[in-house]
Amino acid sequence: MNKRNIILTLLAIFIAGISIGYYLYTKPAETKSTGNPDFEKDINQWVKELDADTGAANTFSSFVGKSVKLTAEVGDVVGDSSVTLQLKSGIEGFFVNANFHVSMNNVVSGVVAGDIVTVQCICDGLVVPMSADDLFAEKKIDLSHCDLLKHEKNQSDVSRSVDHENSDSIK
Amino acid sequence: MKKSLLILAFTAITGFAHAQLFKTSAGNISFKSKTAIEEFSATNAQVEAAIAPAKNQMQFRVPVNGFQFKSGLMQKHFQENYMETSRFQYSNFVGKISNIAAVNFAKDGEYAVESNGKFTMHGVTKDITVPGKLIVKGDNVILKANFKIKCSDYQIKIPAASSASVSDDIDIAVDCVLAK
Repeated sequence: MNKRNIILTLLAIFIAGISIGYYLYTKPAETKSTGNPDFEKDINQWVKELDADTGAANTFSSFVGKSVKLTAEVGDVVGDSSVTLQLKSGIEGFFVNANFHVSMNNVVSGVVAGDIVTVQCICDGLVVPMSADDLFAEKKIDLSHCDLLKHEKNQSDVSRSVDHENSDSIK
Repeated sequence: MKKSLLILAFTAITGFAHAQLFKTSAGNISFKSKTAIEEFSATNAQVEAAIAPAKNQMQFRVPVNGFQFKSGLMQKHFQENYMETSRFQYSNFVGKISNIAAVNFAKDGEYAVESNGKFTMHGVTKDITVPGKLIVKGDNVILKANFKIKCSDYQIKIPAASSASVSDDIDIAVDCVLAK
């Protein structure tokens, strides 16, 4: 191989390296969890186990950053800018909050309390009250970057509104 | 009879004051880093905030892993390398409003406030003072605050290779609507 070919090869490798680096650096962050979930959980069982675990916050650290798929009834819909679904966990005072990126607002806008949803989210953390003076008296799992995989309207809601019939399922 | 009614009224009023709690679990926080060569920001809409006027207590909590960046690589570095979110899942603030007497939570208006308390991030707790504004509007209290922190104060290590693009000084903005 002559000197010219060596220089051209090195230049090509250099340009490819720069291009890959630039692509990775500028690749947008995901706004929702995609692909196969790391965990698929029965929300009632999962929460029951964590509620009984005195070191639940530490236990939960193995879930942080991982994706989880779960099905639950929506207890409430909150949010100033983006939508957070408060999912019923089966245990009083133990909340599971599933936050959707603002770009998902139109996808989750039809969800109301009482609906059944299947979501895939990223686990952010689990908190328990710090002391008796804690203004946050409940235990809570925070999920973000959620995707709405399935949405079943509350039956009584469907019977009241014909408009909801065509939006029973997102996927 | 009159005395009993007065006692009942007093109990009801003080009970109401103690029970009054403004709260949200979907407030907004953002932060910005700016250096000569790069500027970036991230947002999080999962702020849990509460104000108990009668106890003059204020609390904030934010799941750190929920911050949304524009760049996926930056988000990954933030979560795994800088903030170590699997170890330190939440940042929180517990404090008091130093001039709470100036705020009438029963009357619509805008009040400049200052809050002092303990801010915990990345497992490190520091005393901080945060200037802000409370806007009382009906049953809601809108809280807006801007403050700065230093990464180095919270043992957040910025690698030498990134020091030109990630600032040690971070601007934080909080915007929450708390409801009764």
